[in-house]
Amino acid sequence: MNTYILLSELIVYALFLAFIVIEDPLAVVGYLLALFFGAVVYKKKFPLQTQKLSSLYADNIKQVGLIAALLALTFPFIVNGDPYWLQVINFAILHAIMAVGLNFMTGRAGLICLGYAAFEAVGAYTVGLLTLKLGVSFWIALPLSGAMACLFGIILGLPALRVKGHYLALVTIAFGLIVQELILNTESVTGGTNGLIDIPSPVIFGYDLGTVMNLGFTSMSYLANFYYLCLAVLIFSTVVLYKLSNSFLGLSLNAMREDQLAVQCYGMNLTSYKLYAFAISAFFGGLAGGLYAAMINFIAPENFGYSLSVIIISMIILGGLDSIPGALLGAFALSIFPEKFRAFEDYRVFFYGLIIVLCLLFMREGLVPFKRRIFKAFPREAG
Amino acid sequence: MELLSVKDLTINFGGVTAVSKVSFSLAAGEMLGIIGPNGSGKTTLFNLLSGIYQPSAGTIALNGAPIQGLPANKIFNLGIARTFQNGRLFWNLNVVENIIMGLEETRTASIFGAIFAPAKEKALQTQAITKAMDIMGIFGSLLLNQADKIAKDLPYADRRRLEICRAIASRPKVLLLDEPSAGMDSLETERLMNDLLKVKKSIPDLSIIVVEHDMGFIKGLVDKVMVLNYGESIAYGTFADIAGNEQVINAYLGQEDGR
Ligand SMILES: Nc1ncnc2c1ncn2[C@@H]1O[C@H](COP(=O)(O)OP(=O)(O)O)[C@@H](O)[C@H]1O
Ligand SMILES: [Mg+2]
Repeated sequence: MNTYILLSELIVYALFLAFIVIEDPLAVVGYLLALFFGAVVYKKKFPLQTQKLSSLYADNIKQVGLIAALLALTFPFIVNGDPYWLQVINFAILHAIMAVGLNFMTGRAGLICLGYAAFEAVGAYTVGLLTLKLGVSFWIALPLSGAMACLFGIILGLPALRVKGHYLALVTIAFGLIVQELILNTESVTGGTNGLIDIPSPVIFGYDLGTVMNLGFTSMSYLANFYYLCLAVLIFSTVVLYKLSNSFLGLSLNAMREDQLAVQCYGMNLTSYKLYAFAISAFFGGLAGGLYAAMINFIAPENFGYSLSVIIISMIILGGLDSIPGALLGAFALSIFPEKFRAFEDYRVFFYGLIIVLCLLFMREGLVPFKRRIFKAFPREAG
Repeated sequence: MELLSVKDLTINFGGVTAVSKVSFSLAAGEMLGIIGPNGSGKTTLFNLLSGIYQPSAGTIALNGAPIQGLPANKIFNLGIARTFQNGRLFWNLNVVENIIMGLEETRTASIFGAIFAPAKEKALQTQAITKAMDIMGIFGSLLLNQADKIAKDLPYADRRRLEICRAIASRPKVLLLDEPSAGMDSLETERLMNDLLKVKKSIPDLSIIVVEHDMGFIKGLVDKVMVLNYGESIAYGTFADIAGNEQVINAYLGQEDGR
């Protein structure tokens, strides 16, 4: 284990926890500005160290992830099972699952999607209907929620195959709206505007995740159970998408993003590859939806509107397109910040819009730009 | 039997016939030069051969089997690879990755293998990198020394070299080169000519069609030449055959060299 990685991650975690504690909006702004300028100044003053640290992280990405996951295990204890913060972080984790999922198609494959919330809806209704109406176990329904979203991904993929750029954006917006309308109009099954109520909580070995987590020495809100469940799914999603991103498939999708005509002239079947991208991305949106339904126990079409799609895409733009760490950071940042400014609740969507505009104008590469290539040449002697 | 035989190949865009009844054939290992003034249909002919455009009439046969009308990816997989006049590298991928995009492994690797069989995936990736580096070796250390560079950061001439490497990575039967020397000065052009001779030598069975604007470039390189003018083939033969052709002189050689 590398001590620098451990130490730096501990510092980041401590800064994050400190951030959570601060309540006053002005103090929050001050804190964020201090962090931001601190980082900028550090980068300017110690470019070599910054470079070293970033390549240390990049070279030991598995270790970085493992330490981060271990640190994450402590979170419910540190907030002492506080339901408010667990709820906020659980939503942040669901957003993060969606962000890494969307990043695969939009970041890696360059296929813009402004209807990603539809996949979460499909996943949520799959779990909701299967567990509530058919009594299927959550543990079977959850993978099915991913599979169902996959299917919808392919359905969206088919009309989207022929269009590019702005037109693709429009098709995906329409898709998001259509799914929402579909749910509204199949009232006998989905409950329409009323949604689905009393979706059962998952039960594992007789233990109901919807009950208080009692550990003897302490007890925590049921949300702590879901925290660990969501965290497990986030880790799974990140690992799978990391592997796919760094495979031949990931390379091909990257090349497709660069030049759709050239990849065809290099033997790629554009249709299949676009469908792979749609289906894989959709799968993770579906998983997030399945978790959402089981955690909240209540779902309605308005939970999966266009604004959610915009929120998720602003997360990956802020973090840096085609960057998995960026997607994670963007998701957490944009899920947690608004909690600090709840007095300005009405400006939330404005805030997301502003983030997108500012990023596109001043920070095209996002907070954690993707610099690492998939394949590297073997070292050779010069000459 | 001829490797590639093209008969009466024609394409119309609205009222314009960009390629008109072009016929030629190519044996394994043969090199054909296509020359003609700007707008004479050279690139369009390549777009037809590589499946980007579907011909209005005529046939293309590879090893006797008709391939006209097939999509670009199928044609590539059958063994016809091309470069582009303006260079179409994957600009944000590095040099190795650009070449790997031409390798067979990229299209045959299993998606599930990438998740569930990491050792196998890793071995396949190592193999791909090795192959890519071997291919770069054709140009000595020129590309090898920049193997991890992002394509858009390469000097101009090396971009063209990289495009050639990417195209031959798939071990094609036919290689189509669209104005490989475009934008190069005379020194670079001469070097590229030597490079192409190297490619030819290292893969003796490879048939090459090279489109050139500049007659001088192909003179020492090709076995046969075809001259296009307004989409029609006005001369076809060895260099000596066409040099005396009056039509060619009028259409092309007499003209100022401008693009
Ligand atoms: N997609 C197209 N639509 C309409 N006209 C085209 C198209 N592609 C090529 N052409 C026409 O075909 C002719 C030949 O062009 P091109 O093959 O690019 O010439 P060259 O490569 O010999 O300079 C030009 O007149 C061009 O305008
Ligand atoms: Mg041309």
